[in-house]
Amino acid sequence: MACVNTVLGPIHPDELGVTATHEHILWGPPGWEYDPEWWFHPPKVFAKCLADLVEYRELGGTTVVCCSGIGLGRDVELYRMLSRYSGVHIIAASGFHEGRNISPHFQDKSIDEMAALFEHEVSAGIGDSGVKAGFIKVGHGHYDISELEEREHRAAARAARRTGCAIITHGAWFGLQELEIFASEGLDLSRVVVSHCSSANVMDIERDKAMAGMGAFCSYDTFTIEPTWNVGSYAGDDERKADLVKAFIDAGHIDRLILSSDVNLFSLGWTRSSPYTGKTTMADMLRYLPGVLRRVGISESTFWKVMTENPKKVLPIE
Amino acid sequence: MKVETLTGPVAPQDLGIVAMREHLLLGRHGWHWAPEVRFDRAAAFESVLARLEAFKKRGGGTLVDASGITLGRNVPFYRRLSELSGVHIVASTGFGEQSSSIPGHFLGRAYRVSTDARQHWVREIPGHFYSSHGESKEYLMFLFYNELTEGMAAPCMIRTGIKAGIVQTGSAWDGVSRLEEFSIRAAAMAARHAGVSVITTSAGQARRHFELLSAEGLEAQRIVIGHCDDARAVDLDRDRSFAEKGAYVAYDHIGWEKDAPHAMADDERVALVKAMVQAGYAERVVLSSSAVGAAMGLPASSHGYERLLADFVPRLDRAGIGEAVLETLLVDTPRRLLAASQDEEAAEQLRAFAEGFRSASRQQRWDV
Repeated sequence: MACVNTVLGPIHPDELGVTATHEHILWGPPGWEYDPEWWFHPPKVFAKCLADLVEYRELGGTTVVCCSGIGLGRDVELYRMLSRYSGVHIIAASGFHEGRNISPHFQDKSIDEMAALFEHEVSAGIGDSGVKAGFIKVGHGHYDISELEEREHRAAARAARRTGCAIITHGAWFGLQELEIFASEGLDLSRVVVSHCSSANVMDIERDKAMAGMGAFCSYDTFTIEPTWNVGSYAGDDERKADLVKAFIDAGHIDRLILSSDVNLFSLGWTRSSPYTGKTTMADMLRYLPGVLRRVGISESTFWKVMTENPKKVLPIE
Repeated sequence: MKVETLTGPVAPQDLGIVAMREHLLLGRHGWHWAPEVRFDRAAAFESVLARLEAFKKRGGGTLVDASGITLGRNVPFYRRLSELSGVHIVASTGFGEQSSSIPGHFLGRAYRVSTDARQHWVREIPGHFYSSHGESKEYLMFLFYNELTEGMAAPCMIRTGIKAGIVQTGSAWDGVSRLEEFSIRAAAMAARHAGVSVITTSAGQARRHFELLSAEGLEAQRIVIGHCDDARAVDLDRDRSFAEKGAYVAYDHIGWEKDAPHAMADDERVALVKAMVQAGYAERVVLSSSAVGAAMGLPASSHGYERLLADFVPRLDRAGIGEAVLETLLVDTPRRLLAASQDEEAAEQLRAFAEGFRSASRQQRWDV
């Protein structure tokens, strides 16, 4: 029977409900813990994340996929507490991010060693926490897929084949090349979500159509991250992202569409989620996105259907 | 003049015999999540303690843990070991090679900033320039300096009151990356302000390290060029030229005789020491064994800290190195290197600057 690994244990896919597929509860490159300039007060962070998750649930959300991989802020003990007290299903990631953000211990590991690590986290558990990862996250940088990142992608494909879990990638800069790597490892591309197709610096509807044609899911997941408050080069106007989504639906790929908002409920070692630079939460997306999409002719019922049905096609572990 | 150890300041004359570069725990960031690494904290404690006791029994007095911040340093763990074994332990701050010891946080911005007017607006935020982590040497300088003067960071977001006594720095074997250059310059600045010494790793870039450290105004008497007995880069002319400039060379792989790229026979190390002594540079050499107490996912050493005194010193003795020279190598030189000599006025100025920097950068932080 197919199931989904959450931090509180496996659930039936039909329990997923409204799912934000690319979010982060905590996110930060490894090493902030050595840097006292960035230390924080854990109880306050817990309270902040809990309040945001409760708000998300009250607005209709049921599941959050936290795409922070190994060493990138993923804290499954914290996630268990958050899930228990907010009632939101939280799915934790195995895998990494782009090469520069892979912890030094893993940078020289071979494909098979990385694959064994991912497989262990999905099928046996993360460390000794007993929490099983629900999917594998991989990433590449803005300029190329480095040799390290290619190892990471191949390892993820092998582990995904062995465990039956999904892969969520970071960045669509080289989305097609990523899919080629996965395909060459024999992975069914309908197990893959290519994220950040809506980053302002990487929008390309033809690429998205090609990826959907290959069976992969395209994730438009930077909604609410706008240049009005965010200085990252990925921040773009939500209207443009909505146009992209409309074009993607019009091309007949609504069953390959993922919508999310890539928020950090709390950023580790960088300033995204701070009052100074502004911040948004998953709840903001639920509040705000239906209106944005309605303006380009996508009905609210379509929005909720996409949020519910599409994650259910890709996240369950067969 | 005092030496900061894990059990508090110690007078230099109380250090005894010093091993200048050893490792208590050694593992790269992330080992914690690796299922193949079986780390038993209690067993590691026992084995490191046994090695420290063996060192003590052979007459050792002080051991320098030169792993820097990120390679497994655990201040409360080390402190307990020091208390129980009676060996003074000097811990280090700083980073070594980027690929193994500088995690992503210090690489600079997590994401590129748009190249338009907003970027310039962001730069107007007080303190924002410094918040870009590894994009400035000043940022890393404060990281190291605070560890030398306020106390080292321990796991779990704790600033202990226990100060580092030396700065470790270095680079990859075949080049110095942009971030490594910042880290080396920052090490020199922090060491100069705090009045402590710097010890380098990766002899492949020894000359470049020396240049960068000197360029930041660190005097040669505060520079130890580490790993000069690395089999890939043995070079007596280089060692003599460092000694001539007043810097120190460390023959610190004693006991690593096989199964590692840097391994070579200890007798060759004896020859190196002898040549330096004959050239009149006995005062410019320090010795150690780079032994690892317990390793997490990295190769451990087959020898312990006592190797230096139990095996290598008798070899030196047989090679005709006299008692007085041994005293210089093992006691007098390390004592000079480890004794901190901070200029109080300069320290006060920097403290004021650091306070301003910290409050400025706090303005743009979150309220939690």
